[in-house]
Amino acid sequence: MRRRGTHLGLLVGATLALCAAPAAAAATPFEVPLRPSESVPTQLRALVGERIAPDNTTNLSFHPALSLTTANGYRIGVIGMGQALVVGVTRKGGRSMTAYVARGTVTPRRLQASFGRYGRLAMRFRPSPNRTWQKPRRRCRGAGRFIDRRGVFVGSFRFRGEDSYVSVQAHRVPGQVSSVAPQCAKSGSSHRGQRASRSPRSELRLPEPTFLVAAWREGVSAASFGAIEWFGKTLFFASVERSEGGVAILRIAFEAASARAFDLDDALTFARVSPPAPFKGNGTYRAAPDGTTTWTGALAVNFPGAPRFPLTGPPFEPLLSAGFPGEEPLLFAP
Amino acid sequence: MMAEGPGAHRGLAAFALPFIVATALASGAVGAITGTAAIASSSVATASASPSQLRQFWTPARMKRAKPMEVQVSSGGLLPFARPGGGGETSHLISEMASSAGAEVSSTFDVVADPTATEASRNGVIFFEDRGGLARCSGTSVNARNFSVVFTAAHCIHSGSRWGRWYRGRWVFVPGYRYGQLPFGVFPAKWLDTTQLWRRTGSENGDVGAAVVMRNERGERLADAVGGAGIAWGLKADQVFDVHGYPAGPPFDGETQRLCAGTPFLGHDVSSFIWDGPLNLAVDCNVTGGASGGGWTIRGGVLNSVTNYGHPEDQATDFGAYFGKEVARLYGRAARVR
Repeated sequence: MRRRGTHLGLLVGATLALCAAPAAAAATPFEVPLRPSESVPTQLRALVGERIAPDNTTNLSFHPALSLTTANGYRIGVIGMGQALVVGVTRKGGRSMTAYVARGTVTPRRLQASFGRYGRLAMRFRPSPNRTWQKPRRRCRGAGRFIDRRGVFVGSFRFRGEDSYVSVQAHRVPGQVSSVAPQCAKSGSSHRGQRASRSPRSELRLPEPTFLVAAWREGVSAASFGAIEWFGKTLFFASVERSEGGVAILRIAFEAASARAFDLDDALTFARVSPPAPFKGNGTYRAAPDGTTTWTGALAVNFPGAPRFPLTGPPFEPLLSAGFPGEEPLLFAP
Repeated sequence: MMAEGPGAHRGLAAFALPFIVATALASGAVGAITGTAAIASSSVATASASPSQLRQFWTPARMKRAKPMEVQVSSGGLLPFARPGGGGETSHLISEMASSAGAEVSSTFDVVADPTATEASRNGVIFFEDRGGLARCSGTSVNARNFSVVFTAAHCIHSGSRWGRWYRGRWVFVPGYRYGQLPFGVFPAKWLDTTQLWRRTGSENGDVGAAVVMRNERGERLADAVGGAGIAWGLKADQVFDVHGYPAGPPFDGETQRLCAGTPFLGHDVSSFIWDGPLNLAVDCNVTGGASGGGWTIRGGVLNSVTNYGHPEDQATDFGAYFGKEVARLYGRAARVR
């Protein structure tokens, strides 16, 4: 049997993908957790950008997406990804998201899926007679890698979150269908090829980041908290995943802060984190000389539909480490 | 093909993976990490070594050296079609060749005292050679009209995706294996295949493979020697499974057959929602490397899934593919081989 380490990966990855995918990101809540922030180091943003802009994006043929805002301030976005339909909920201006994923029908013309007790979506896309095409930008970076066709989704969309924290019933929602601009993938590929062929002499070694990760997994549920300190800045994230019948629920929160929010000693035997909202409280890591570790405190995070989700305590197994274990040193051209 | 200990890369692996998974999801890239071999054909015939030659090759020392199969493929299928567990599938069940009694409930991988007993002997170890390395998996003899079909995980047969390669070097099935003993001899593969989903995308949701084996050294057909489990597809996901296999990763040594008896369906892995193909199945069973491909049987002896993977942070949960239309087609192809 193989072991897969996707527990957090899926959550964050799905969000990153949703952010990276289509110009849908520009119109839906999916952009929120990863929108560029001045407080995130440039190098880190560049690294993330590099990872989410792969060469072979032509494999994605299309992405239907729609979005709307509820009366109580939540933004709801729907995006189709392959066989999966994802309903993402964020609070306006927030840095956390809950995504509900169900299998269904996803075509450029039609979206249909049942989200069990959370609701159901069955809509058809009516392209706008006034076509709006977004031309690919130079070098095919960001949203310019896709071509958007705007229009309206018509049909039925009923959705109600846990304890009715969000509720929507709609029959007509503006949206778009984004498809990959083929010439973009070609341009992006050659660009990266040039980077890879640069002389090692012109490359610099990046300073090693410090990681604090605490996670648990049991059955089809998992949760994790992480902090990366790099270039004097700290990026915090948390994720929770769970599957419930035919629906997967993914929650994710991101925020950047100064290095002071991640206090640790040189021996990596102690660390304390005090992340800003949507996180709340502190978490303390301690490693004893005998190798045992503890992860305590009142650290929690507010997700849509799951307020004050605890991020410390016995189920979490913590790990504090420096560098990128198992990877080649990260290099970049000056 | 690396053996990976339990809990390896805990935490940090999870931390690094967001970007990798994001790349896969954002690109729709599926299983494109491995080699540059030609696009896989729909099935493959294996080398024609005789059972005797292969028995000579697979000495107890070599079998002990064989590493649990690990696959380098990273899957993240986003490509169209398939329905979740049971939806739109027509259920079908082919009965086993001999009846078997139900087992007691257990989520630990308990030793099967007598692997040569009627039901247990259908399970065995798969050994093969790939690029000079020796590898192992688990498999199950399945009832078919050619009396020679073995089901296992696709990653024990092919590395996955259109650019994957077949593992056809000295591929043998050893039913009832125990401490280097081969009570029913070795059954060399003459034909290997996987679900089309696995070969096309490398999606974990399609990680099911089949082999058709030759007669053993004594001239016996597989199902004549050990019988065959029934097989069912298109059933609802919510079943109670007996999980069989030969785990070789710590704390196990791969020398004994193990069984998690009567372990119920827990749900679908969240990752499974993103990959192409029908949603997979989770059960409570503490398996390790080497158990890949081990059969999940229901109703006393009907194959309905095989072990695929686990998460490093949770040793107690085992994930297996849903048996749907793709598996039905695979079974049909295997059963027609003469």
